[in-house]
Amino acid sequence: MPETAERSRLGTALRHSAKGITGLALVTLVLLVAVAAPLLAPHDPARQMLEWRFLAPGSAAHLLGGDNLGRDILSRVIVGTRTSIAVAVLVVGTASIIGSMLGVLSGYAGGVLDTVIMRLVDFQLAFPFLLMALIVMAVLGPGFWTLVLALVMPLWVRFARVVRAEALRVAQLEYIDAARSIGVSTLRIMLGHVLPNVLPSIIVLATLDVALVIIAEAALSFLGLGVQPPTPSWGGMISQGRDFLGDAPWMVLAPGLAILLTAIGINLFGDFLRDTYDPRLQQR
Amino acid sequence: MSLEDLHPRDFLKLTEAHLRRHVLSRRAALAGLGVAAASSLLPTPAQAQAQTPRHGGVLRIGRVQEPDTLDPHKTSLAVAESTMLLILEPLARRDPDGKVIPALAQAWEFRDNNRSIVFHLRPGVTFHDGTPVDAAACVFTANRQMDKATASPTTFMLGPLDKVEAIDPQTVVYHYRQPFVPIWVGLTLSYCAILSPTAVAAEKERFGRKPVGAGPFKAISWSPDAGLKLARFDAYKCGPLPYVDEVHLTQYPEDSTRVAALVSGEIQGIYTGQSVPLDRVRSLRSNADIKLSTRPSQSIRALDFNQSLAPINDIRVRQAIYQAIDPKRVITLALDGNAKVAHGPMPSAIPGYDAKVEQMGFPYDPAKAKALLAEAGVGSGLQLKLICNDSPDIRNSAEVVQAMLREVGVTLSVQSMPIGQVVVLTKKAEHHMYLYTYTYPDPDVLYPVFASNGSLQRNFVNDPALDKLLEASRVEFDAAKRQALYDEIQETLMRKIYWVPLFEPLNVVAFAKSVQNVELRSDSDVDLTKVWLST
Amino acid sequence: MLSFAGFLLRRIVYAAIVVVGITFVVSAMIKLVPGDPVDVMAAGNPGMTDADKDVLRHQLGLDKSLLPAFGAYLAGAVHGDLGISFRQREPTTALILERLPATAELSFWALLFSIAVATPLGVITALRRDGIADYIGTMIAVLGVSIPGFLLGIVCILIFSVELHWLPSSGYRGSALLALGRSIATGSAEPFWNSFRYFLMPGASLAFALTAINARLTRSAMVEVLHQDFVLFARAKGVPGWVVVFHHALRNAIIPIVTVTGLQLGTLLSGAIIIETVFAWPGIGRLAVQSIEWRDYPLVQATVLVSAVLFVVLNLAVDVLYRLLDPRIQHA
Repeated sequence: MPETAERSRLGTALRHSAKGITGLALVTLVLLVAVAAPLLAPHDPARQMLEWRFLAPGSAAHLLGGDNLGRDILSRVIVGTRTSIAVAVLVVGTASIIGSMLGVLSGYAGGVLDTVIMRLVDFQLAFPFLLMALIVMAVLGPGFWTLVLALVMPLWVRFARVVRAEALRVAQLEYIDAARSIGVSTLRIMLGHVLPNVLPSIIVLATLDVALVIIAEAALSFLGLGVQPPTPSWGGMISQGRDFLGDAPWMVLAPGLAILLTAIGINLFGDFLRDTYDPRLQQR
Repeated sequence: MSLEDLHPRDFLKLTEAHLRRHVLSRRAALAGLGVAAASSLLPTPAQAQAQTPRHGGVLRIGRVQEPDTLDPHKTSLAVAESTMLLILEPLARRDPDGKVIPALAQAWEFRDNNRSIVFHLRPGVTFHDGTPVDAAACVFTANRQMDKATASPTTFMLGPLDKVEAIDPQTVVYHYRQPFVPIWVGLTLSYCAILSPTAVAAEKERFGRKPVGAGPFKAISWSPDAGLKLARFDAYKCGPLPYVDEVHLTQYPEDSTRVAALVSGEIQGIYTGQSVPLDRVRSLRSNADIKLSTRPSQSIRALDFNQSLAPINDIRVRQAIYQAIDPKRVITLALDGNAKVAHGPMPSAIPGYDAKVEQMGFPYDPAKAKALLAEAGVGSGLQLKLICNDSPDIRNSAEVVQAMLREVGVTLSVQSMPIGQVVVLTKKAEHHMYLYTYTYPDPDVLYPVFASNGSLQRNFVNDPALDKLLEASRVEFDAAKRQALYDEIQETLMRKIYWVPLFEPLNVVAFAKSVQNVELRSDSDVDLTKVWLST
Repeated sequence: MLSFAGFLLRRIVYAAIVVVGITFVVSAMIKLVPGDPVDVMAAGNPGMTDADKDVLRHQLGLDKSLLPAFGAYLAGAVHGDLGISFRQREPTTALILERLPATAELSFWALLFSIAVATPLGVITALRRDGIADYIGTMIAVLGVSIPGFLLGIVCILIFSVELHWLPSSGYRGSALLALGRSIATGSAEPFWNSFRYFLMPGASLAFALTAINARLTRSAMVEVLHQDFVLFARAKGVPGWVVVFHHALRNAIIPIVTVTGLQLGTLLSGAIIIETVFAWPGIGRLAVQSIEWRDYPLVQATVLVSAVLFVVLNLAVDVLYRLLDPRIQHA
């Protein structure tokens, strides 16, 4: 299919979908904030001022108030966008690519390869991911890259399992059989027919996982193993703010809303993409 | 004169003085900060005193930690020690002032050139299971603690104990290889309390779940879901009977939940360790149903320099860091004001503290700090690494320190991790600074923390002169001379800027208004045998 | 049916390999973590010298090497002996067994809550695609994945325990399922409610994220199935709408949902680690975290081994279910 036609189809679909537009707008906004964070932040996110401590939100200089260490929350949410999005994109990107590839391979090729990959999957799955992350972090010491590694390790598996199941199903369909009978190579079948067929499932999982990764970082922060200071992250801010829910709820609300908006945006856009690209939906 | 030649009566005094020094907090100095009921709605102390203590009721306590086991020979955890002291009875106890008072033993004397001590047991005392407390039980207990198969982490508390011998059912002798001055430090703790031999034989490895001693409370049950339930032991002979019928101790690992349980009335008290989060003191203080007691702890938090690494081995850099940090700011931001500024290598609540160090520190002066860094040739752009443990107040303190160092152009990377990891990683000497924390009741702590072969030393200093002073302080038993040595050590440490003292956190306990006679001791414990419940 | 027996046998062999493998990897990894149990014990004990620590290490058998120790461990494990905890000095099996029911039942209720909410939510949003219901459903689902479990738990405690005094803030008071039996026998709701109210907040906090994921998966599976020939055909034939939805569509859509539910057992245990901490819940999730913190090697090995066995067994069951639901799938 020519690329331009593909694009125009997406454009047309987008114009007709409020969901798609809202989603895209939110995702773009979050990405822009992540990229331009240092320019947008009104204050240095690590700056501590006694008089900003527990400052209630609403003032012009400190729109979202101050935290327990006297730092400007708006600036921390903005700079934290960069951290949280970087972790989420890196983790979900890596995990979905590795997972989908192995899943398709396993489901379609079968045989020894399937057995080996599936044992690897079982291996990861039978191990609660938070425990795995805890041990990895304990061995390597807390830090940004350890965090990414610790989260990719358990996450690729979900992609592999679901993609494999779909691949198994797709491989049974008549048209794949037909393609094979007219001599289309295995690799071509995988790339041309299996992957597009499982793409909707991958998109759904990936969109859910972006939020999941952001929340997993919060969970690790809760256990004391999140991103190390002074780098702000949404999860870390929520974890730190939980002790002050009664007295300074804004410490949690601001990063919480940021996660929520991101999740809404990416889910709406993911739904839209899936609805547009699902080959089975289009045919009819 | 050697210890062996001392008259046994004098040697006894020496050992008792050691314990007193070990325990006693400097009450007078703390008057301003002492036990303070917080809410204005509370009855005045006079009114509270006028009420007569009421017997009965169930006291429910929430704690941040849970004992690992209640087998005294298989734990070294502080929360286990304080819990076991409710259930088990040692030969002697210590009162809040550090005085040795009779418990299972009603009298004792030293003999054999002060190498042996004879205990005369209180007659007619039984364990919770009815087994009589006799000399054989003491022999059994001590042997079990020293047995390699037991693998007790607290055997060292017995010191150079050689063997224990029963003379008759009411008399037992502890033989030491040499006179042991700190004898009471271990013997008054529950680690060395006497156990019922029948119960140990019956329960075997489950003894840690069903401990049987002769203490004021007996353990009814301990399970992960219901927590630890204790009931008053009505045949308790070694002290006053507790007022409450039962004590239930439950673990709440999460700060918010623990405080919520207190506020909602599910539990009536929070104490031990850092069970009352300092961050929450402010909101608890405004709650009319809760009363808080605070007391300075025998704890200190400081920045310990690793002097095996450049440029920290340069005293100008160390002074620069000292002057770049305002401890008051750390206290306000990270602890909501619930601490006092520290000045030396020891918390001021430890006896033996040298007040002169208060004049020796350097004032907060970022400009001077910058100048010093420039003078040392490191200027701005200096990158340093700090390791600290992951408790919230420590992490927050590290973040405040980080922000203040940034003001003078030093980039500090902070690595916070669980304490087990901190202890090992700081030994590798790859960090520049370590946010040091210790809690100890005795100035002897200076030895492990600062001597070049000290087990807790993390500054990698090899200073023979200092080592000599520290060694001398351990063997000097003349109180005045010992104090002079401690003074010199503390002043040396400050002069050479081996660390930057930050703060001494407050101990806080919180109880419901109905809980009476809560007395917070210097070791941050509350004596539950004295507490009673008003209706 | 011979192929089914072969399939089952093969899966059991795989399961055993996975369990042994995991246990070995964990044993090796945990020893790479800086600091051993004695370091952790001594951390708060200034009186303990390095020599004291070495004596204790020797007494605890920490100076033994990994491989022979692992062989002996496996031999013991076959007989149900998973070693003695260094920290609590009790058999690890006893420690795990007294905590496992609390975690298992919490997971059960959480799974039940989540399926009860997610299935209708997924079906409705799929049927009313791009309608108001779809938007609301999407929002609820997104909310589910955007709120950390610990935060939801603490907010629940502040509202329902501290402010309203409706529910206990935390703790576990015995199995609600067993109490349900008693309630049915006596005809009084009280025994059940007395246990069950402790499950409400932790169960809901744990279920929230799962609900979101399950609702999305149900929706996407339903959307797909609803457009397939046999469903359209059934509709064209005039089969009533709800029959089409529940009989034809949901039954087919359930395959991916079952797959993911099997996988969620791991997620549940991860979530349980956090939720158990917040609600002071005496389960194995927290035990596992503490065992890592304490470097209690036997306890780490035992908790991981037990959770791996559970997971593998339950997923074997899911796999069998899977084959029964969709006979088209033939394992190569």
